[in-house]
Amino acid sequence: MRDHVIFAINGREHRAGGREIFTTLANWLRYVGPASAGPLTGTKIVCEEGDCGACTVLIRRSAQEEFVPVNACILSLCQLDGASIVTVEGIRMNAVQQSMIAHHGAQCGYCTPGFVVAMCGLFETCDRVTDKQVRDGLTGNLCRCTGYEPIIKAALAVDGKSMPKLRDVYREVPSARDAVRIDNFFAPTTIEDAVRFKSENPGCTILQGGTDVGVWINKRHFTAPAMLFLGKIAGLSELREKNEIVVGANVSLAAFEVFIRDRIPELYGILNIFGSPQIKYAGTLVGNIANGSPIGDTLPYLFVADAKLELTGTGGTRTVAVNSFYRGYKQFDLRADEIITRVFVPIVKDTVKLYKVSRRKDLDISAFTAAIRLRMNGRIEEARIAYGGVAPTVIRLPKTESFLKGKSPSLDVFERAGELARSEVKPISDVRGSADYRLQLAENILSKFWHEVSA
Amino acid sequence: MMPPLGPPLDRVDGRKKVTGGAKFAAEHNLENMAYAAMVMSTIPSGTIRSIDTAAAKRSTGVIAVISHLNAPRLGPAPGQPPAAGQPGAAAPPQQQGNFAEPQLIPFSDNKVHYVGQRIAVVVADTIEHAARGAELVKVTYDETPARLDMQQFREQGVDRAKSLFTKGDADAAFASASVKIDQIYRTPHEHHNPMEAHSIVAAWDGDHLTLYDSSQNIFAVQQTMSRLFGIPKENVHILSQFVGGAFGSKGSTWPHVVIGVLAARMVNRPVKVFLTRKQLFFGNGHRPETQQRVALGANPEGKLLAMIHEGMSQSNDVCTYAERFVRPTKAIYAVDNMRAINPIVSLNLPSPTYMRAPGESPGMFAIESAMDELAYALKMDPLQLRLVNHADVNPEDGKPWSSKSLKECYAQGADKFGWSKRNPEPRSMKSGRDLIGWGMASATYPAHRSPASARAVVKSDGTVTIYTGTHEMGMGTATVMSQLAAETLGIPVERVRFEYGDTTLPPTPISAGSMTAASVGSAVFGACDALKKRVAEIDGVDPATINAESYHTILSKHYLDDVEARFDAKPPQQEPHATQAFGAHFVEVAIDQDIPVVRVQRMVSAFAGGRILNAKTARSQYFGGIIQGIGMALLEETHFDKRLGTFTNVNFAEYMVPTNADVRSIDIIMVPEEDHDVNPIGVKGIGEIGIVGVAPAIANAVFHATGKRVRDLPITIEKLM
Repeated sequence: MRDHVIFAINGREHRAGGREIFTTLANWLRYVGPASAGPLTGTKIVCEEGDCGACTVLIRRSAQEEFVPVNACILSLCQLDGASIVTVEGIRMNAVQQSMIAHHGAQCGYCTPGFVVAMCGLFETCDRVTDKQVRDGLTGNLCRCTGYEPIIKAALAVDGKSMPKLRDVYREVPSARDAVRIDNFFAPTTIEDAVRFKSENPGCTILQGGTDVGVWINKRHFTAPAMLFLGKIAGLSELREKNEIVVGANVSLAAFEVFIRDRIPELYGILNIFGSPQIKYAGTLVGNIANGSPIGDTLPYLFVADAKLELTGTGGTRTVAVNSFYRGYKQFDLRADEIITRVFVPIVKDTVKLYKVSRRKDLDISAFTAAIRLRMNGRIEEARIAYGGVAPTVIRLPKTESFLKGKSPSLDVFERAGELARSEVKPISDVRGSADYRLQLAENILSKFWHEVSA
Repeated sequence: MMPPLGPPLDRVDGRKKVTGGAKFAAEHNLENMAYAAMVMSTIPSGTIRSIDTAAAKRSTGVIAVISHLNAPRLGPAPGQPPAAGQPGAAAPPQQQGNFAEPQLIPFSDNKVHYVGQRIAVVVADTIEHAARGAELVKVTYDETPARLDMQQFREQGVDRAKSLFTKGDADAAFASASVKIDQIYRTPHEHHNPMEAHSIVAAWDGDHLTLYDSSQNIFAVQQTMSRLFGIPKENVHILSQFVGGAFGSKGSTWPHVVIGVLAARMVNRPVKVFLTRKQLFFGNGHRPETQQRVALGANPEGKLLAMIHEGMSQSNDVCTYAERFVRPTKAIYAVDNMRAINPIVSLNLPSPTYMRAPGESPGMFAIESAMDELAYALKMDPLQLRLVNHADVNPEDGKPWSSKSLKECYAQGADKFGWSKRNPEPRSMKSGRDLIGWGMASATYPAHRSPASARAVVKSDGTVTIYTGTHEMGMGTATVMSQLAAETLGIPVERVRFEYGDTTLPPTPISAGSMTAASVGSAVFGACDALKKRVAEIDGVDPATINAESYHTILSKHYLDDVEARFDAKPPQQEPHATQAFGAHFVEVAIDQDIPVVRVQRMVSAFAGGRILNAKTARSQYFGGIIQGIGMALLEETHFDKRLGTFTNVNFAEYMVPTNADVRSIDIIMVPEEDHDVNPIGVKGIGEIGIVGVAPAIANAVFHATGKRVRDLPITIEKLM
């Protein structure tokens, strides 16, 4: 058991202990920095909540992994044990940077290092990128000056063969296999230790990617009575298909997204516009479930697919259906000592359509989400509908579902189902959309569904 | 004569920017430096009853808590400079201060004027300790009724900008016109949201101040500091090498600058201030909400007979800002009868300020939306309506244009877009379940210019350094000025070095209002031209014979280490021409019928902005403006809670700016334009015009697609349900 974390910045190892472990990586880089170099100010702080990518750094936790982009502003040092990190200062005038200059990818220059780092991440696994790869790969980076076009063009012009891969430049990953305990912060290496700590520390905050907790720490100066970091538990990294897809608590949304591309294309489509790569490489599927947000983007599918959750406590494991896990706004069927260890995601063969409605095309929190699943044999044998953003939790629509059952599908049937769906929800108004708008969507989405499946 | 389109030289500062080596204001570190965090008021109106600093002072690392209770009184602040084109604008920049809130010197009393007012500051040894300390400061207030609703106080509007413009008899002409449009248009509060937060590093040495400031107006900051702190201007040294975007928000000295400098003086240590994103939404300016009435009267052939543009915008009692949305009204169409006025309503809201194309951007949304409505009322093509009303001379004063290529912009833009294939009927164009709409709008922005100075020094090795105190916020100033100098001197651009962003260099105006290239460019051109002539004179030769190698040859021959020339460029007192840039946008939108989300599919925008110094930086500037216009049309809005008196969506998750996915195909046409009268270098300025007209072009396309006219921005999905 260690009383400090070990991480590498641009190939040099550093240690941090005490309260300093709750400093964000972005703040640490900009205001403290490696002892040898002092503050590294190439990493910028703009939004302080993972929305803009100006603080993008590359990270990997083992020599077998690739470097991937994450937001340093919502990543605390306590999450970095055993990680190797590359900042813009660790990239030495490579083809990406030359192309950014040649295409005027930099105007004011403040978002530029974040774009350069994210772009370098793209070229770790390929030598050329397509327009879609660049646009997807850079959705997490905001620019207020250029209008993006010069940046996209810069990426498209890069020949990755003409520059070294960063995994070859920074080969070493710090050796840090043992558990870390610093005051009330615990990073165990086994599930048993984790649930014991949780049972001994009621109200402890569980931390993995920190895409939400990191924002609390950074913006609200959040301090938990105790904090449990799951990232070092090897047993939680499982990702495999066995009738259904088994997803461990440490599996990132990005890894899950790649895994389901051909297995559950509809859900893949939602994950594709779920958020930025920086968020998806940090966040986990289990985190999205445990967060309990009524607009969690993965939840509607999990509801209509009847996914199951494995909960592990000091007394062993039990399995609950995701449909019965939520008991109110951020209220769960979860005992004080339990953590969600795995998710079992069924691969649905019926017709399924998923919807995520938001004002901005990408990188936006949803106003409304929906999953509609239909089993048909001439008539509708079974319908399952889950909506998000219309109640304190994601909900199923039992009346609408039973109305559809046995009907022979037509636009008229789905329009009437829409009216019924509207009566089953009670949305509120907020910055993402008015209650009236959400009611209208609750209705329209069913006829939209019919237009799409009948086309 | 120089070519109308300069070569697309790479940015001279590109390398520093892509390596993270460019040092922005907050990235300067000084020995023994402390950090300051602001405490913001939480009520919109009243007085501070008490400030409990005990917990903050006990908090780790806290050095001082400063407020009106213990701060020294500062000198009277100079007001904001008059905008270009207004009386007093020709005063040298070094004589103008730019404090944003002349009626609210920080910490001068216990009055609270708006939520978010900086009412105290905590200084600590680290930025985190300062932020923690600021949270522990407990403030109690005596609240007074606040004025929070522009509608409620509309009768109290005053024309602070003295903008009333009349020509002919607008009301009579409107009354008798056969075709009329009379509508109200609204634009919301918007925030600049530059990527770089406003920040400073301030250090005192006796009564000398060194200030790294993320400013687009350093000479005015120098003057402001001199007057507030009662020290000679020469004792104030402002540095601003790189600015991470500004869009107008860094043109004034905002309270955090004064407070940071004050804190540095009080704790006797250098102090760094780096505002949070949330704080940026309160004390650093915003584009204020406007409500505009546009009344157009025309004859059946579409000739405009009357144009009335009036309304109001939000301001407050402590700043001097008025959003002059009627400025384009006087410049865009030929109309004999006109009335235009833009009063402000003073409320308990944070101070507004100029934001990219102030005036023109909200004003043209109203005018160009109304023109589209008029085109439908006339059953006339919207582009044809604009051609019918083309202003051959400046409608405001009848002066001839120095140049104007708007008709070319219309023609080239329409041609590239395929405008002639448009079916005018709303809801007539579809693609699958998507409704397709085509819309267009004109763009315009004045070609301003202010006094500026530059010094050019050539060394005996033939290299030249240009010294001028201007700013680089991303527009490419350092790049295009190096090019201009090289061209004027006849030397390769690699031999030019450009020094800027420092008040010890020759003074320049604010970098705003699309006037940097024209103002600073005229000075750089003048200095280089003078230098070339001086070198020729030394050798007794004709300046026309000077080439790239002459500088080295002549200086060596005459045993000179260097030769220099300075030029103070001033706009003429009496301008015989009207100077204005013009353009046109053509937009296609696609709208999903079931969840009416609007997507801008493609745009063609044509601009005529005088001589273009560098095609690459110019294109970037236009592009950036257009994307902010898309944001204005569809996304950007700062919500104001009228019960609590506060802005609510004060972060990047809820104040949405466009991402790369919101931007599809955009074609930019730069219509060549030679202008020998606008200024010595023929430049009109391009920073703002890109955004002007984008929002109405999109709104007009949305009408064409859906048959729904949205008169209040942004065009959210709710408004189309």
